[in-house]
Amino acid sequence: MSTASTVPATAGDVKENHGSLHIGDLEVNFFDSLDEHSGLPPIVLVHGTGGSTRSHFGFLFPMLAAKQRVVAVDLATPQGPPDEGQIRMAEQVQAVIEKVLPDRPVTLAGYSLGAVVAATAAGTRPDLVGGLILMAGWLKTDAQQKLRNDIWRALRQSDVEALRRYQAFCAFSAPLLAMLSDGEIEALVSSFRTDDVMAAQMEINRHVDLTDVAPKIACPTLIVAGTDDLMTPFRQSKRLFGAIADARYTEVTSGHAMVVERPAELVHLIAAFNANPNQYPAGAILPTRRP
Amino acid sequence: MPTSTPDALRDVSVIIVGAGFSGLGLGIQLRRRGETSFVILERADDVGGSWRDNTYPGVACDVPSPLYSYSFRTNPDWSRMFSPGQEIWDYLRAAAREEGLGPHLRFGAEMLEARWNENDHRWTVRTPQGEFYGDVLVAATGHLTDIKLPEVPGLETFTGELFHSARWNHDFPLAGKRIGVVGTGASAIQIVPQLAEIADQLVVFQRSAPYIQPRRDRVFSEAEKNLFRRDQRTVEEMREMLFWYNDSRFAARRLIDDYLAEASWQALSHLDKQVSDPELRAKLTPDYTIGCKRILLSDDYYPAIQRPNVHLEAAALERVEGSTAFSAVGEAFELDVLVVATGFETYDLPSSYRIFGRGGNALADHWSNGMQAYKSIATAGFPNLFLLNGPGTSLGHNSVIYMIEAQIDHLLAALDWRSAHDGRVLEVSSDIENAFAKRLDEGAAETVIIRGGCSSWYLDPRNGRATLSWPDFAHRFRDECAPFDPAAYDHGEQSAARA
Ligand SMILES: Cc1cc2nc3c(=O)[nH]c(=O)nc-3n(C[C@H](O)[C@H](O)[C@H](O)COP(=O)(O)OP(=O)(O)OC[C@H]3O[C@@H](n4cnc5c(N)ncnc54)[C@H](O)[C@@H]3O)c2cc1C
Repeated sequence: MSTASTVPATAGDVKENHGSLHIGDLEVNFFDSLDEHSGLPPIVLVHGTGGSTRSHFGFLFPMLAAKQRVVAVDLATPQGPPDEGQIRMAEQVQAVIEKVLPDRPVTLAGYSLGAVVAATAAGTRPDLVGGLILMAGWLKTDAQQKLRNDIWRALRQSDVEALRRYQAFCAFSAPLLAMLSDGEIEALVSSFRTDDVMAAQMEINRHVDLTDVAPKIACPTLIVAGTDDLMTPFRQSKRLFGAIADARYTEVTSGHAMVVERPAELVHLIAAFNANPNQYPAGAILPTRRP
Repeated sequence: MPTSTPDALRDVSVIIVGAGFSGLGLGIQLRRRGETSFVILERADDVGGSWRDNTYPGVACDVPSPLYSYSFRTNPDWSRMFSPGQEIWDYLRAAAREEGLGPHLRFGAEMLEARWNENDHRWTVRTPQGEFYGDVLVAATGHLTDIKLPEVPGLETFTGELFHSARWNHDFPLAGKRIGVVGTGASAIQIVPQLAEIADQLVVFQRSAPYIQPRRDRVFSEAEKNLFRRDQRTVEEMREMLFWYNDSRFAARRLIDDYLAEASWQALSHLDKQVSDPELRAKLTPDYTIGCKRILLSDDYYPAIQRPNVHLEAAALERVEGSTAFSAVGEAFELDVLVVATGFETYDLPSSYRIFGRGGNALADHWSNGMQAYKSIATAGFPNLFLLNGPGTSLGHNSVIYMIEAQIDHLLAALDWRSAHDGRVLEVSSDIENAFAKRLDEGAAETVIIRGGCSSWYLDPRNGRATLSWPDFAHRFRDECAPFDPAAYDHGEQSAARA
């Protein structure tokens, strides 16, 4: 028989400290991995529409936290006018940074709506952000995105089950969906939210406009687009690439759900950028990765 | 000293020892860059390494073929997702031939001894075919190449036919025989379903039950292969998808709860589905955390174990007397054949006893506390020696070929640097080597390899260090170890001019 006895495994060395703060009547929750590990700047993660730290960063948070401190914000959805949504959410991110990581450069990484929020936070408070990563973000909601938003709204009224299927269809790349079994498709479909919070965030999505704030972003920025993204098509990321002075650009072969489809590649991109934001100069398109 | 027959490559810039994926990959890159001053010394009579030596029935890779191949020589012709060993061997032979390595290969050229010469700052390699001289020595000698037999009393007295899985005796007819298979690792799991079909009785000695996940193998259709041929980008896209998917599996190795649970579920639900007898299921249920040993992929192993002519002995082989094999729980089996699938010398490499660096120091002595190397490639006291697929390169979750390619990039940059700097000698200090090794030890301490409660071939039992394993994402290996940083090396001396 094997001489080794079974040692209960623990979850690596990743600790998650939970905290919260209040802005007006909004409670903002955040997670902090605490352990610095190294001299690298901490990374602040901001999730996307309908997501949370847990649902969007279940992979990125612990795996990045193995090498540097990571803080992730669970955005609270503001009531008010939807066109103020991006700035209200950016304030939450700024407040968390000021509370948890005061007076030091952080690398702020946002995904989807989180990218919009992160860009807004970096443009309005350049002093807080040393580096910026925008994954599947967009510059200004365009007609294609509004059309999708219309369908989302209409289905929410008429057929919630169809809405979930539509979300799965839009979120993942065609090649990924094509590989899945019926059971796996159903599991994906049932994971989507259609609640009021989600609906409020969809309204905010309709009104996103970074045209004025993008030129104020001063720090090195990495823009990551999904080649097969239907929700924030890669051309939108290219618009950000044009609008932000110190930006570099790369694509991952993925749909919008890149945090699920290509999480390890995102860890690579984020960790490499955090270690050396200027490895590639402003204006560079990163060399194609051919593993 | 053996008399040396004339050989244009007796005195070269680079001596590569070993003609498996590593040595051939480096040779191909050198050729493509127009280098001609290199020789590849191989002890066997053909290229291929693991894929030449392992010809057992059922041999195949367990990393998908589009990924388990060179990125710089994708292959549109793989017959299936997990191609048979013969195809992989053919792939390597074709690569060597078509890339023009023929003139550089020397077979039957076992490195008996390699010595650093303090006078001219060069390496001398003694082989049965005479001595070879080189500025740089590359040990591409593999770590799953020297077979390891179990220490079982009486094994040598076995009156039947006995062989190791990597030294298969194809001349011995196995049909209708009483066969014992020792081990339940990656090789055994492929062999057992094949032997179960033809054996009269088959006994499988299992010391520790492995985790087995569904294989998800499939044939590539003619239409798919045709597309791969017409549009190379489609092969690359599949490769990239497989690479990043596999790399994400490191989260389970790093014991992140959700991913660990998912990996366990994939294995244990497979067991539940394929084995209904609770007693047998219990015997087949591993007693350690998943990923601690290599996770195996098979759809036909559990069904084979349940055939009436197959017996799973959930205990190690303990001793042999004549034709009788006794298990550790005292069961006796009369056997005609023993197939030993107990793996290879991994942590204390035979080649390390043959390489002598500064002061005549053997690499094995330098490594008496466990193998280690700066960026898994260079080691203190061994100037201009580079290791491919040596310490700190093994993965449980992705393709070794990717690791080898990252090392080749480091090595090529080092060679470029030498050319630009009058052939100065490259050597790392002990401090740099130790600092790197310490980081790997610390990384491994956070992974299932150390924490999973098993003893695996990734561990050095002399010190408990996971000296063979790279305890991180595969992509992180490229990020950290592919770049060559001359500042990390001391470079005082200069290789003397070639004769
Ligand atoms: C059955 C089997 C299945 C495997 N499947 C996978 C898989 O699916 N995925 C994966 O990533 N890895 C797999 N591996 C691991 C595999 O070993 C590596 O992927 C890869 O083949 C290693 O190539 P290499 O050139 O480094 O070493 P090897 O293939 O071992 O080649 C080393 C060569 O050096 C020669 N040599 C050794 N010592 C000397 C000497 N003193 N003088 C001269 N020549 C010498 C040997 O004869 C051999 O030809 C498998 C291994 C085995 C055994």
